[in-house]
Amino acid sequence: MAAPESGDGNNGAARMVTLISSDNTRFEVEAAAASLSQTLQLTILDGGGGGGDGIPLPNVDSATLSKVLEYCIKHAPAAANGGAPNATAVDRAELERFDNEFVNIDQSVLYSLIMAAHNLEIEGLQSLVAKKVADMIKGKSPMEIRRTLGFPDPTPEEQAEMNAHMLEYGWAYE
Amino acid sequence: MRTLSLNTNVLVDAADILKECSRAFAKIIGLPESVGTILWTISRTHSPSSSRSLTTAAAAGGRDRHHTTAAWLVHRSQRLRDPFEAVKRFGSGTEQQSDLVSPTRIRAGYTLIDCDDIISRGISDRIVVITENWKFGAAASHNFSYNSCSCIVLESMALMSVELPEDILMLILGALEVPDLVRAGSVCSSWHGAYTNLRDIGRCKQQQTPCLLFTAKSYGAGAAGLYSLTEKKPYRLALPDPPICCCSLRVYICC
Repeated sequence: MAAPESGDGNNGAARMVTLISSDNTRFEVEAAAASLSQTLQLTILDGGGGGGDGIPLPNVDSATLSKVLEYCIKHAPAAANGGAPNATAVDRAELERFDNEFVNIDQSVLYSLIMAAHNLEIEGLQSLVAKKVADMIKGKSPMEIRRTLGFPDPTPEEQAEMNAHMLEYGWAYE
Repeated sequence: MRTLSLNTNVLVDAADILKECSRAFAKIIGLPESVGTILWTISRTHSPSSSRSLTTAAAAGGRDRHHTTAAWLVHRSQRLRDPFEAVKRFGSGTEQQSDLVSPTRIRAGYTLIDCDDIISRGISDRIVVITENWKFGAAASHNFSYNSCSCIVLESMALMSVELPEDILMLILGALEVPDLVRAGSVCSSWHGAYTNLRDIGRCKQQQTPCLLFTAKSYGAGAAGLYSLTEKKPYRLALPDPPICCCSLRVYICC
């Protein structure tokens, strides 16, 4: 005789949830946007994050979280439609424009975003950032990639490994 | 007040490593009794109780551009010969700032840049230490000492050098075209691992731009040409025996 679950949030005003960053800043967002995160989705479905409670995210600082949420808010409507019929070409182009601009950022922010997208399991954001990093290393030699991404100089062992690989796949290094 | 924030990406026991780090750093700055005054930035906002939380807390923390500045450098001489080079390269992004930092040589092979000095000059109130030797943590966190840690301070610009989790690496590499993918495979051993895995499970970029495979007299019988349409560039592929006949130019499209 379990009572049906109430407060599913699908009716009336959009349900809001509160997320709390590692530095204790509170962010109130629509549940639909926060649910792009697989990690948060279950908690939210269980009714968490509403009222004064808030979901603490000890791994994400406020700067990163606001950036992540910017993405989620923009992408939530499209995700709700399941990329479906009423997504017009204009909408898609607008999202694409947003995405391109969104990842046009400092490497450090990019790094925080990768980690946050990974921890929060936001699939679209993960691919978007991965794609951006991939674009950054396109057409570069391994040493150039290391420099681009700020790796320290290789140790002699690392250098030996790199050389062995280059020997094996010499064709790609012409 | 000295504040150090540890940024590491290896799976370690957080409590242990924080304790050991505190001790090690206190020893380096010559104030073993001052362990208590070294506050870990992470522990201020988050009490790391497991390896996972340290990993993620540290990875997400201290990324504020205005606060995260390279400040404190323990440097193992064989890795980077000139500590200033490290500060310049990883430091605050501008060379002038590295000039403000005065290094104190404390023992052969290690250079310490005093964090009080930096804080008092207002360069940073937050210090990030990234351990360069990622492998130490998993097996030997209890052996962590200033001798075994080759710590390098990095600032925001260089945070990509932190070892990324393999599934993220695989996502990145998975978005590359084949010639880029092959080159990325030799960047370092973790990238190589991700590359090998990706290749083994066949999760490379699904829609590769086709390459043209061609034979040419100038390449001889032991090689073929691979023309990458994305890079508009030919590669010469050595072929295994037996040699192919290259009487005329032939072009195949391989996808």
